[in-house]
Amino acid sequence: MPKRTDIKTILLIGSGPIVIGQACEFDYSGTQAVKTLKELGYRVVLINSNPATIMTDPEFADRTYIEPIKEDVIYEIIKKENVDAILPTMGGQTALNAAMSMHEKGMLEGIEFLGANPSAIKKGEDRVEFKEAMIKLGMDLPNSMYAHNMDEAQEAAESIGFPIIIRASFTLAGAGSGVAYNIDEFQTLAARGLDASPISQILIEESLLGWKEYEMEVIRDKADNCIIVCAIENFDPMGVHTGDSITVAPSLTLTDKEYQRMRNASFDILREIGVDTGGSNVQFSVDPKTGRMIVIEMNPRVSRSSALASKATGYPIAKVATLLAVGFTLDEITNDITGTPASFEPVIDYIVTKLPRFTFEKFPEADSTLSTGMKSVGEVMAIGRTFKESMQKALCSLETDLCGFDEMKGDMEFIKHEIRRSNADRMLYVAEGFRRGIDKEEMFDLCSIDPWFLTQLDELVAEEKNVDVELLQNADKLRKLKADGFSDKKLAELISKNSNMTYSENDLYSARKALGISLEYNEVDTCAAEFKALTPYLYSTTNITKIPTKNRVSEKRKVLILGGGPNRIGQGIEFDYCCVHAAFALKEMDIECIMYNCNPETVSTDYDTSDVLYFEPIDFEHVREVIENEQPDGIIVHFGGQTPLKLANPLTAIGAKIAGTSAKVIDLAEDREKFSDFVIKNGLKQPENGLATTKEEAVQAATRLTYPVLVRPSFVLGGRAMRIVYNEEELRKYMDEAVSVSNDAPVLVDKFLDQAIELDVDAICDGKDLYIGSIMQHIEEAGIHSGDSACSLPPVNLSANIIKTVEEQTKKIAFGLGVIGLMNIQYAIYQDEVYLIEVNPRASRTVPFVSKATGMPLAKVATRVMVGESLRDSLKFYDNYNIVMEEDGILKPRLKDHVSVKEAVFPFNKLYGADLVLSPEMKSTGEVMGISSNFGISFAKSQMAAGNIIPTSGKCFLSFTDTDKASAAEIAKGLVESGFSIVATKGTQRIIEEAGIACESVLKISEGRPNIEDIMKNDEITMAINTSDNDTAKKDAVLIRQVVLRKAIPYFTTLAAARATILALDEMKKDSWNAPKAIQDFLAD
Amino acid sequence: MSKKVWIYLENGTFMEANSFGADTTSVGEIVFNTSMSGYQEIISDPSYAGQFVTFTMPEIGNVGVNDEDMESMGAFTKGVIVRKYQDEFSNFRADTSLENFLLAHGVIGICDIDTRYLTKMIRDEGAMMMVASTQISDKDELKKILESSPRIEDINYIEEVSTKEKYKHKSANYDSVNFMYKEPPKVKVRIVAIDFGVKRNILNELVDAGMSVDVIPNNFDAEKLIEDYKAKYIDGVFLSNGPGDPLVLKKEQEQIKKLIAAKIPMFGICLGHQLLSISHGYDTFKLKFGHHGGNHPVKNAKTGTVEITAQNHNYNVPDSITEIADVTHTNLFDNTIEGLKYKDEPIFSVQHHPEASPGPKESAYIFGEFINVMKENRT
Repeated sequence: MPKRTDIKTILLIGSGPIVIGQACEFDYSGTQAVKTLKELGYRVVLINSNPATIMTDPEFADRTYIEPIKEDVIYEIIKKENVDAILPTMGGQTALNAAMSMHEKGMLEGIEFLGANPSAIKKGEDRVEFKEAMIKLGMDLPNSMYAHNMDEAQEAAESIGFPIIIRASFTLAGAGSGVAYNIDEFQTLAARGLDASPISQILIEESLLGWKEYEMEVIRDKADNCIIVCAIENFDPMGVHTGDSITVAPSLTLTDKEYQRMRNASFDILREIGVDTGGSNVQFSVDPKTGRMIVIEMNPRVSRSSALASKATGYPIAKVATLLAVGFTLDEITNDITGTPASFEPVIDYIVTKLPRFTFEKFPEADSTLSTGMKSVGEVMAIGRTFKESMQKALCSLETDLCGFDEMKGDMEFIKHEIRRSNADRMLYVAEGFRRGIDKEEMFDLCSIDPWFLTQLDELVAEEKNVDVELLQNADKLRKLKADGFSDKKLAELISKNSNMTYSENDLYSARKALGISLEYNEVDTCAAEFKALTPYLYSTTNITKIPTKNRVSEKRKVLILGGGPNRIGQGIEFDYCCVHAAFALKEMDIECIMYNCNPETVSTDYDTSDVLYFEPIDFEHVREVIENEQPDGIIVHFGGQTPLKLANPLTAIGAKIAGTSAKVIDLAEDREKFSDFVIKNGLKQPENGLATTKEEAVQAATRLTYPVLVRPSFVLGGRAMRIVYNEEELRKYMDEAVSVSNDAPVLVDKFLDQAIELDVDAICDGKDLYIGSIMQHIEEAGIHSGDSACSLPPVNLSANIIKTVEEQTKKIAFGLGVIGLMNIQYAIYQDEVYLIEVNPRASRTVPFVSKATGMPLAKVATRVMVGESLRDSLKFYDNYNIVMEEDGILKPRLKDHVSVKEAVFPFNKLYGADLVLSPEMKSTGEVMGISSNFGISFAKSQMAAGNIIPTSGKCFLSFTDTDKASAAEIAKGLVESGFSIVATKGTQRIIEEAGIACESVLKISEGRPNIEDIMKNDEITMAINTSDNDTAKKDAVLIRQVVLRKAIPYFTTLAAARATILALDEMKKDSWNAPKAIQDFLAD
Repeated sequence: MSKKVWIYLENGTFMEANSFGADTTSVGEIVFNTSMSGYQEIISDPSYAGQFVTFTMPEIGNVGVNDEDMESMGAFTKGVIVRKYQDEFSNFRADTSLENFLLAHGVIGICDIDTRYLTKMIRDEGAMMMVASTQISDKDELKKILESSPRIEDINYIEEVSTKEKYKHKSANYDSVNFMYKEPPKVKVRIVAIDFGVKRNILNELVDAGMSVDVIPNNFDAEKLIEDYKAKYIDGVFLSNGPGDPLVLKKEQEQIKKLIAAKIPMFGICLGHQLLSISHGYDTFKLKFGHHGGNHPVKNAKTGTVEITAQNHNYNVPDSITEIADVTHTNLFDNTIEGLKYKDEPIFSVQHHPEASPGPKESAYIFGEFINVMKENRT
């Protein structure tokens, strides 16, 4: 049957900001869905608050609403756009929950659900209904009981017995879930789960700790054709959230009988739940001792694992699911890669390993033990011909400085402890344990990882011992080790260690080439080579067999784009967005585009995005081999964040051609000493600074500059280990930690500009002209990482003079450095003077936001410039909204009548124990955008989209640092005028009362009871403004922040944000203040 | 240090690899199979007699070998070619390692070789003859052995794999919840299954559907079966799968022709399906590299749905057979005929393997259809 013609306009709901549990995989699925629906001729309306997504580019959907994903907003959009049907299965739990809640409230009458109908979603998502459905099917389930309060919970725990799993209903990524080993833990977790669940319901469940875990990616069409796209096996046994587990595909430790049983069960479950068209995943657990198979859960939508399955097999699940949702059946769809029908099951002849990426180093207080609540912020995928190769490539992909199974420190007791404890580095500790002689049986007892996987690690460690200098001349042995995935760097390290001499990665490389061993490239073809692949989606392997090979040949001009690798804090979807835009721009120029990345969640790794895709670790060895294979005419290292940028120098050294801004310029901007010379030479101003390689030097520098000072290691992204220190003691403590962070590279000490206004500038230069894409004003003051600051475009309150100075300085820097392409500069305005904080000759985090806000796709323009086109022509090519203007020799956008606010989104609620304090170290995982006709509304929208919904009445708790107390009265006045009552702790309260504003007083936690914690817990506080003390050692402040998090009380931690909130409150009084408006309309106005 | 093995293919390819399994020299046809699970079932499938199986699944040996998953009494494949063999296995049902199993059955195992390279070669050049040896490393000598050996088309492997004695198959399907074979259900009809190298799970499925199954050798006497049918001792005849080129099985074809003429209900799978076509006067042809795997989409003409099927065949019935039979199933990969219902005859057959093992189970309904055909025929 062809596509349905009874529906015309389809609303697609995105997943909003990147948070733990919901990352760019939903931009990947959503983008595929929008593209597919458009190609079929449907009118597509999209809502997503995340500007850093490809799907929200104005040219994708017909109507794009960058608005908070809230029910009333969606309702307005549906009315305004005459929506016929809604596709809620592409935007993760956010979209599904929004659609379901609206459905239950009767807000979606007459609107059809595509993909999955409400009753199927309910059955799949509601744990009670799901359990009933499974019992009806005769599926085995863990013993479990529901509880809606602590008494019921207690009863359930007693009847099931420890250890016990607690799962909160209707939450994302296992929020409010955990494993309890004793009654104390149980009570904490049960209370937390009841809190986290929007319907106060928890499932208390028999623990399947130590069991094996599997995920089946299933597709079903309306004719009841069912296929498994991919079976994924978890390396980690049950007990770790699958998002935090190491997973492999295909499944490796099942016989066919067990596999087919699971396959059939998956289909039966989809049928029973009623997923008629589309993709779902079903999770199973298997007792390794008896084979007993248990159903864990299912998701009636595309998911993170379906993105992984799509990348792992080459089968585009989201695209196919979209086609099925609008009426096609599987046999009517063609598999793009082979040209055969999509109704087959993909088979692969390689092993895929996914490793989660964590950022516990940014949240030292957070509990790093992995459990049923997801904690990872990103992931990498690696492909190899064997598990060993795949796993070692994955380790290199993580960008945590690993080049394989690196040695782990600690005594045997500690090593064993870390093998037993689920943690981010457990696989490394397992390898270390084998290295130190733990045998496989004991290892299994410690960690319950399947013995087959343990054998692989054991064998790899055993191979390390045989690596010696002789290897450099032994082709057979070297080929074998390379085929097992040992990196050049690792082998060089091992030879050095075993021979007491020093060999470099390059020595190994040269020896390898002399012996005729190069990486070869295989296609990801969905069919294990049974058919010829039409799409060049490639991965490297060292072939165990020496066979004749040849390089890929192409007559066209080629450009290689190096991606950003795994999502982590500091390097997220924004960089993937830029890489994808580069690919689009190259396609438009008819230049062959070669994409290179290792993050399976991304749009960049969709084989449709580029002409050729390499799914590879972003390290020197693997990049270099691809360059040899492709001989690109240019390499874009500037769009993927710091990861590819670091390769600019080594790649230049081997003669590779970097497109745009050269490695020399990059180096000049990154090298503080050289850059300081540049600043002085150009008459610019930097905060006074110093450089220190020892603790004493740092103290001397700080004394000279006077405290507070900003300290940081060089060459980092996301403000890793960046801190403001106020005295010598803090500085000494910092230096003890920082030197290990920076690998003995120098530490930078800057005079900290207290309470300065920070600006972000994105610009493009071609050596002749400069385009200033935007000047953004941060809402939070300087000192808070720019990635964590909210910002406004245009600036809120800068004088024309300051703007002019900033523009002139930007020009001076761009031309002075010799930037060809994008650059980002951060300035601070301190006592009416412009200070230069940082220059990055690369694409920045704000590029997508600026592109959305102004309508000029900066990364695309820059791409054209980097491959040789003039800036003026490039701007002209993309000036769809007629915004480019020239003033005093500087090109810039004509700003339209709207204000865009970007707000950061934080993972504090996912990382239990983490403190919600902002600092120079970046902590946010994602961003949202609010856009409207004025700052107040845009700020309110941005807060709403970030989940920090500003209430319009109630009681507001105020607590200010001493320096902020002067502003307390002003803030309190604004709040009272907006209808709030105020409560504050003694010091603040007195100041407010003295100003003639009514203010209740409340005890600090340390002062007795009832105190602020109590009244927060009693839901008496609707909003909190708390700038008090960033020093986490202050117990009171920490506790208050914990309650704020747990009770999800809207909170603001800076004075600037408080002021913005008052502006927002003024606007929120007005009727339909948050009326949605499509981005296309904002840009065209 | 692992043992070496040398292989030589008829297109001149000569490669060295490591070996596991038997120490020997053997000649056969090289094919590839894309199934990602079930290597034991494949290796013990008698249809692979005379063939080397290249597994595209790179990790083999992981789950060992057990008694329950055997598709025959032994292994008839000439050799097993894998990218990586793992001797240490992990599965609660495993009894021994794959290597031990291959050693017990004299099968050569070839590992640490680029199976993707071989697969692409077979895909592009077609299935071909090869020799593998752990004893001879000299290319020319291997070439000589290969050239002096008969081709697969010239060997009748049926004699080797068919049962010598008639026997009654007693087991029903495998219960993969309780991990044991089920007891047979009540008998609805009686059949004989002619064994050309039958897979155990076909017999299990027949029994499970409600048939009493007598398995008889390939050199059967059609007259005797016709008598039994007329006397209502049996209700139908099943023609099994089996190895090799069906065109060489002249004796069997003659007997089947008699059964057709007697209008006995018949059901054939794979080789049985091909023999029915040939016996109706429509000769099979050889596919370039055959269908071997567990992921082929097959469209059911009656229901319009797609079944994911297990496949293992190098020969196919010709399109011209539609003159006398309706196509019930079509392979969506290459549009070849997968299933036939002969016009005005109680005979039907499928090319793919509804018994799966290894592979997807959704075509198992076909066994029930055989019962329907036999019942209708009696009324």
